[in-house]
Amino acid sequence: MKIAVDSDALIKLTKAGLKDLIVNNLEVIIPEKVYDETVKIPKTKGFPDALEIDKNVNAGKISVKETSREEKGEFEVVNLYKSGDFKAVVSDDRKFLKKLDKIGIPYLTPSSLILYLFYKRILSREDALAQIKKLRKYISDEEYFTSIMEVKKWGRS
Amino acid sequence: MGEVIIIRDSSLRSVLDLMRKEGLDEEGAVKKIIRLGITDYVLELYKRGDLTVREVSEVLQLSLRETVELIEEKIGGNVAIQEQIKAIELARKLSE
Repeated sequence: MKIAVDSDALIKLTKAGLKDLIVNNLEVIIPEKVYDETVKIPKTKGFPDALEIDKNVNAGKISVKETSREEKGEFEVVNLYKSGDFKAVVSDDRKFLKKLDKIGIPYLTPSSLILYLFYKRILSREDALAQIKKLRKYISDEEYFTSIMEVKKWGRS
Repeated sequence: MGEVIIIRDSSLRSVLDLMRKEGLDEEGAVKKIIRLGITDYVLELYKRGDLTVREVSEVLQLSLRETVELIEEKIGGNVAIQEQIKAIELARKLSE
């Protein structure tokens, strides 16, 4: 499954230690602007997650695509989505998600990516709960508890 | 010549006294209070979904990466239940 990921979601997944799980199971593409915001600029300021993301880019596990430069940076992700066979935009920014909804672009949040892997039986119930718990400090209470309840309501292990 | 600020509120006076003990002069302390107030206000707008992360970074003149750090420290995330339910429904549909 091919997804276009924004800076906020990519940083959260990396800091929560979930990036490798995602890039090993999904096709992750980011626009150049996201690369600048998550790697190029933070690397100069010593953010360790920037190096982690760069490793994945260098290993070809995250692809960086050139898009038309937009004044509003988040719309580069939208342009990327429109440029290919993407299934969704991934973001954890409420205002941006509302904008995506308004223009009819499907979206996923970091925790719903874990749920996707759970539904696909890539993660067991226990593993899915453990991965969502890693996101606890980076996501809202609503996002966290809704995801936990979603996993718990499924009968399978 | 700088603007004259008259402080009548006793709690603000106490805070300024505390800041003075930290080595800040009155002007520095007032600037710090204003800066903290602006940050809290902007983060509140983010929490309500009225600003994007990028808009917060522009207003506070921070890099996006620094803004994500600040939001993590003060708020966590801001996705509401209705957006999360939509995301879960899509994740389920895509997995079929």
